[in-house]
Amino acid sequence: MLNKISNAIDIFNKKQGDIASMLIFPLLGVVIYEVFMRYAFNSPTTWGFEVTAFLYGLHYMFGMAYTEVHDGHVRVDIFTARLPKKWQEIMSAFTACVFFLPVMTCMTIWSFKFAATSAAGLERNSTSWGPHIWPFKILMAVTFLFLLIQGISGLLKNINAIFGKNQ
Amino acid sequence: AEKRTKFGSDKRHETAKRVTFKPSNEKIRWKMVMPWSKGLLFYDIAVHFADSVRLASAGRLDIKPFSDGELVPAMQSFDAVSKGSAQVGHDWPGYWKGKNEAFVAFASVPFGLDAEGYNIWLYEKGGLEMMQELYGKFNLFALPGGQCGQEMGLFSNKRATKMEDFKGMRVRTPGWYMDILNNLGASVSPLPGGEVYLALERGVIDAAEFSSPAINYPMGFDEITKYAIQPGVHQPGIQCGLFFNKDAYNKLPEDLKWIIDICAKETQLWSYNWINNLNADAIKKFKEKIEIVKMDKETLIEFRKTTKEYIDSVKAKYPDVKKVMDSQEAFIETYAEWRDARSGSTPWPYETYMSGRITE
Amino acid sequence: MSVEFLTVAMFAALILAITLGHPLAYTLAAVATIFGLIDNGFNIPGLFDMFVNNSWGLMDNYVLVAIPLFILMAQLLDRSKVSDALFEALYVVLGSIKGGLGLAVVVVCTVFAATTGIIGASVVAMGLLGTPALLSKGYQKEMSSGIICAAGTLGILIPPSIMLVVYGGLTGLKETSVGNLFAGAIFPGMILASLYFLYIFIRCNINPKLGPPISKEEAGKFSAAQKWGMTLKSLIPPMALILAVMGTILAGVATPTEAAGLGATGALVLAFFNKKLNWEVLKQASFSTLKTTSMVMMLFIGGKFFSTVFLSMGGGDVVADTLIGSGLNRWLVLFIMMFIVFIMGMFIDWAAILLVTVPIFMPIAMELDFNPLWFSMLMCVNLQTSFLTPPFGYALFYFKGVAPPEYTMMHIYKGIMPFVLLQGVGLAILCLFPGLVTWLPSIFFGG
Ligand code: NA
Ligand code: NA
Repeated sequence: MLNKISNAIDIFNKKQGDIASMLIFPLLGVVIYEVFMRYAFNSPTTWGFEVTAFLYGLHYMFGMAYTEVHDGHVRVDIFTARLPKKWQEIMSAFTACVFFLPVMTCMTIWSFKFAATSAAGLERNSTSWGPHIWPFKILMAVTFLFLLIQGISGLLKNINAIFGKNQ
Repeated sequence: AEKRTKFGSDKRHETAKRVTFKPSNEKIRWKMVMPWSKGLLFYDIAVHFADSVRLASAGRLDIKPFSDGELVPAMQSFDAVSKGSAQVGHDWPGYWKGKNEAFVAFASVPFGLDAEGYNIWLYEKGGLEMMQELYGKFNLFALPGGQCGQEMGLFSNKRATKMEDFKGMRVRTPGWYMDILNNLGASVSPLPGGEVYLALERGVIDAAEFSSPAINYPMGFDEITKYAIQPGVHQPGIQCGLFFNKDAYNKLPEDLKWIIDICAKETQLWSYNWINNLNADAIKKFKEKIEIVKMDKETLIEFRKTTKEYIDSVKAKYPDVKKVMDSQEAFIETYAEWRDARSGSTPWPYETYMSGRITE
Repeated sequence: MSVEFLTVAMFAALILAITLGHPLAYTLAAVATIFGLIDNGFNIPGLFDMFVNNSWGLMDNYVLVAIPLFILMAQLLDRSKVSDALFEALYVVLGSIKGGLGLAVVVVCTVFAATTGIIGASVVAMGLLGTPALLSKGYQKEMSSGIICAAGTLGILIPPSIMLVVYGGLTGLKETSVGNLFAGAIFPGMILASLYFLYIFIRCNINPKLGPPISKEEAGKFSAAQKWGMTLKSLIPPMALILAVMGTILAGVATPTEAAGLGATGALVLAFFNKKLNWEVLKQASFSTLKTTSMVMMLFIGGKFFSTVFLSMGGGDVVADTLIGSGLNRWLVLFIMMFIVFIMGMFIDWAAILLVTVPIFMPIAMELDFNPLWFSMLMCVNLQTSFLTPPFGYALFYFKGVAPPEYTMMHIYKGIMPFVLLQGVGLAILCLFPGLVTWLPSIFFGG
């Protein structure tokens, strides 16, 4: 059961990350377009810098859970790698409960509150173009939620390995 | 004839004489955030207020200033104080345009209020009440917190005095002025602050405005441009603000609230004198490196016209802007007679005056 | 609890927590949470509102847009195999002298340092490409890992560099604008490359077992003219990229952030010419770009939380008061600041160090009348060193990730030591000859 939930979360985050990773190409496109319009046609856009920043922000935020599921976040495991397998799992479950879950649960809750405040005021960017930014704040909260469930998936795997039958 | 009494009265006196204080030794520590890096004179203004409060309260209210990015990123200062992560913030209200367009009117308006105008409008003409109403919507209590006078015009590699000179010019400026310049035919890009120097120096853009002379001086724009196109019509008066988390402010004992009020006014007074004295020195230094050129009268009139059309369109779109701008424009109207009546006594050097230059 | 105690305790807690093997970014955030709550009287909403504000601020930070673009560029370069050609050419050109393959690695890394803005990619690329060659020729494991890690980190110092972009954005000073930092870093980068070069050459000549030459017949397969032809031809792609990035900045076509985009586009074009541009390559490059970008940015988030709480507690003032109030000789204060950055560099990543120390140290340096650009460059060399210093040197981890299993962490730790000393020599040279930093910016940008 735990395994099923954990695998479903993994598959979901791998998929969403694969898709989100493609944001790099429109990001590149906008940067080049801005240079081109300014340099060749002397007509810079009013929106280029903001669109660039939005794409860049969403790109890596959606990548947080993706990097986690691919175990890509740097860790210093020179000490724990020497422990027996089972103790490594226990240690990993312990750090997930003490370091990861409390912080990321709070980050998820408070980033939704942050987004709610912004959405309630239909907040725009303080620029001439002035696009709505509350949808991006909601997406930021969503990415923290994705990371949180990915952390839970990892914890479920640890629990399974600790209490499950020895495979 | 009608009976005349004293023409005015200090309204504060009525309240002040009734205030009673409960003595207290409680020490309060506050954190202050702002969009300023330590290299900007605005940072010193924020610190000046914190110092004044500490001095006046014998250390009972200790406000620790944090520059841009130390606690929260520049543009997050507003939210941080609104939510209580910090208790005070210092700002240029125009940064919060995206939360409500009307914030711009409390910061500076192209061809709008100058330093004198902001002081009178804010303290005597109901501007402060409108400011507090606006900030109040975000759980904030606000006070004017620094007036820096007029900004410098555009640092430019293109000489521009006439209307057609501005057509196609690549300019960096943010906010309302960006739209106005675009409407005038320039091609304006809202380049982020950190990119301005290199963009200007390498010719990515032709011209950029940043702030008043003393604040611009350390940035060295004069070393990479040829002209300063004057005057800085986009900001005749840079008005800064102080904003306090309402819950934190309401918890203060009565005497500290008064100290905050008086120190904010003292900061407003000090900042103007301090910066403008420095401005005079800075502009002398700029003149060693660049030519100060003046837009001609027709161009200024054209700029003013386009600005009016633009601001009217913003007023039509945002009722909050309309309310504040109507009040400012009404003040400009009523003040005009005195402005005209008194004009002609500008304290120019003797020779300048003798040459026939009697107004600013 | 006194601020002094908390300042020390926060670092001690971080070091302890890191050893538990949890990802560094989350560990930084967790330690920041604990000390943040102690500092603000356990006001949970206040702390997390601040953290959320900081996360949003990073998403809204235009300067950092260069990060994914530099990473994409490195990924595409990696897949289009442009460094392979240069390494293969230098393999036969330099291979026949003692330590020659090591020297080839230094040259390749230096050239590619001038095209890419991050380090992970160059260490990984050279780790994958150079390690098998060095291993099969019998290079000592310590020596070969030291060479690749040290030379691979030049990418963060030699412009373009994401570190210089962030540094310039942080100070907002004219002297330390991104352009001036780019120009100022060129000579320091070259000096370090030369120091590595000389060191490898001298040590391998004293003790050829460290880096034996390739056999005569392998080296003799090509004539001298062929060797030079191969080298020059393989230099065209990196030179084109240098032009795309540094050239467009200097010519006023693009801002440094945009130049990162032009570099990535240049890498796409190179991949196209090398017939390596297809959907699969684009897909894999984009997947890897996201993983690396998010790894870096997650560190930014954790590091930002940590430095925010540290400054909020008043830890910054403790450091500044101790240094300026000490009445010590200014050079001694400089040394202490550099030493602090060095020690921090052993444990935390450059971005976190930069975010914590620059706001504290720059004002101190300026008060002591040191040239800000020169001071910044000392900081940057020191931050480059942080990639190399055990126990937590990212270059070492990146290398360990791609090196054959024969390489243990101990080989890598031992191998990097002499290079860390060379970083110290490099710093000493910059202190003796400050013109090495300030001269080029004055030529390019008139000061
Ligand atoms: Na580089
Ligand atoms: Na290190």
